[in-house]
Amino acid sequence: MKFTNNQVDPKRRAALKVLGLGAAVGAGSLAASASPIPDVKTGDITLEDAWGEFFQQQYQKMSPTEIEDVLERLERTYEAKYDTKVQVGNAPPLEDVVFGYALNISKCQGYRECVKGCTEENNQSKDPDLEYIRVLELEKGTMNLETADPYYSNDEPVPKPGKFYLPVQCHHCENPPCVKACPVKATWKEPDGIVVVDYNWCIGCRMCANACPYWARKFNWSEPKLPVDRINPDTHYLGNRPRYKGVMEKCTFCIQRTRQGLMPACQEACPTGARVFGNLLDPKSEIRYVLENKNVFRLKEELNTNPKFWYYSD
Amino acid sequence: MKKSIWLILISLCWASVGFGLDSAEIRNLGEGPASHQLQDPAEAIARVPAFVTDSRVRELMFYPCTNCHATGMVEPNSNVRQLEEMHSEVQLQHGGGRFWCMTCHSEKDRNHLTSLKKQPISFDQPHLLCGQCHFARQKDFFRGAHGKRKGNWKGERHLTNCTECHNPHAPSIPARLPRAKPVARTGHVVVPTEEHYTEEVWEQKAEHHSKKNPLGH
Repeated sequence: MKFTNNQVDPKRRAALKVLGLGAAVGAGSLAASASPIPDVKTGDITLEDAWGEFFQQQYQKMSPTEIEDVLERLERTYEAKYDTKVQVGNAPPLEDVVFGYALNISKCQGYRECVKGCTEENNQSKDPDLEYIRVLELEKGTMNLETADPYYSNDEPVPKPGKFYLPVQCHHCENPPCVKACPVKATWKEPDGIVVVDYNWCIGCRMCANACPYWARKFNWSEPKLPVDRINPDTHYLGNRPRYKGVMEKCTFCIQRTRQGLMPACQEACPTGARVFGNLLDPKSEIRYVLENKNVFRLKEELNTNPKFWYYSD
Repeated sequence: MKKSIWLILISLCWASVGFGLDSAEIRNLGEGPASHQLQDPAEAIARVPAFVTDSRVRELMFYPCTNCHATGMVEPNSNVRQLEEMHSEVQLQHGGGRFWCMTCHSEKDRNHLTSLKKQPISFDQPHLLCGQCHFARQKDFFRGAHGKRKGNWKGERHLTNCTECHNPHAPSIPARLPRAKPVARTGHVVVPTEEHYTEEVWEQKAEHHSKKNPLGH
C-alpha cells in the first residue's frame, strides 16, 4: 500500500507557493500597521491575541522581546478568562544550581497532604481532578508497583499496619525518556535539571506519557476547570500558569517557587518532614547529606533514566 | 643473630600499632556531635551548620511556669502519681514509665528544662534535650535529614523544633485520616486492589477465566 505521493504535481506546488507568499505578505502587512485587526471579540479573547497565540514560537526559540510580548498576552488572556490578575513570570534558572529531591519512606505516612499542597499551588484542573503526585500504598517488604494501590481509602486512618507509602511524581530524570519521545520538542530539560513543558507548543500527542516509566505526565483530556477563587496568581510560563485542553502537564518542582529560593509546595505541605529538597551542586546542602549518609534508592533505576528523585529510609 | 632480627621485627610491629592507635581514624572522634559524649548538651550545635527555630515559649499555655511554681506556692513533689488538679492532659507515655517530670523539667529553675547532668536548657531548644538520648536523630535534624526546613532551600536555615511535631510526653504520632483519594480518569473505573489478579492463574476462580474484560464492561 502506498501512503505518500512523492511525485509532486508542479502546478499544485506553484499554486501553494503563491498562496504561501500571499499569506506571508498578509501577515507582514498586518504586523507592520499599528492595529491591523479590527477589535473583534472571539469569546473573551481579542482576535489579535488569538492570532498571536496561533503563531507563537517555541519557548526556547523566542527572543527576549518576543517572550515579553507572550507573557503580556498571556496575562491579558488569563485576566479575560478568569477575571483575576495572573502574573506570568519567566524567571531563568539560577547559576550553579541543579535541583534534587529525596523522600524518606520511613517517615511518609500516606496522608496525601503533598497532593493537596501541590494542587493548591499549581493551578491544576479541579474537575476532573488532576494530580501530579500519586501516593502508592504497598505491602511492607514488597516493591511490586503493579499491585501498589494509589486509590487507598480515605475513610481509614493511615498508616495502616503492614503497609508503607511511596509518593511518586516527576523524577526529573537526567536522561529523560519523555523528552526523547516528544516529536515537536515541546518538552526539555532546563539547565537546573527541571524537565518542563511549553504548553503552547505541545500538540497533545501523549508520546511523552507513553515514554515516562513513572506515570508522571498528566493529560488534560477535557477543558481544565479551575475555579476563580482557587487560582494561584503567582505563575511561571513553564510552570503553573493555567493550562489548556489537550496539553500535557507535570510536576515542575514548583519552578515558580524554587527559582526564587523557596521550597516546593509538596515539601511545605508535608507534615512529617519526609521530603528533602535542595541544590545537588552544593556539598553542604541537606539533599547531599541525605545522599551521602542514608540508604537511598531510585525507582526503576535499571532503566538508566538517572532520576534526580531519591527515596531513602532510616 | 636470629633473635635480634625477631626483636627488631616485633618492636617495629608494636611501634606501628602505637602510631595506628594515635591516628584520628582509630580514635574515631570524627566531626559529628554524636561521636563522643558531651559535657554540656549545648555543645551539640557547636559544629553544625547554622540554623534558627521558632520560639516555643509563646506556644506554651502555662508559660512562664514560675507563675504557679514560684517558691512556696506549689510544693515540689517528685513522687510518681496521677496528675489530677493541674496538667491532667499530660499522659506520660514517653520512655514507657522510666521517666517522671523531673527527668526533663527542672525542679529549681522552673522556666527551664534540664539536662541529665542538671544543666538548664531553654524551652526554645528542645533539640538539645531530646538529643541526649536520640543523638542519631539529633545529628540528622542538624544536617537536614530529620525534621523539616521551612520556607526556603537556600539562605537562612529555618528548622522545625522537635516539639512542633512530637508531643514530648507522647512522642509517637497517632494515625489519622488521609486526604481525598484520586479519582479515576473520565470513562474509567477504579478496580479495587483485592480484585487485581494477584494469585497464580491456576488458583483463580473459573469466572475470572471466562470473563472477557477484567473491568467488566
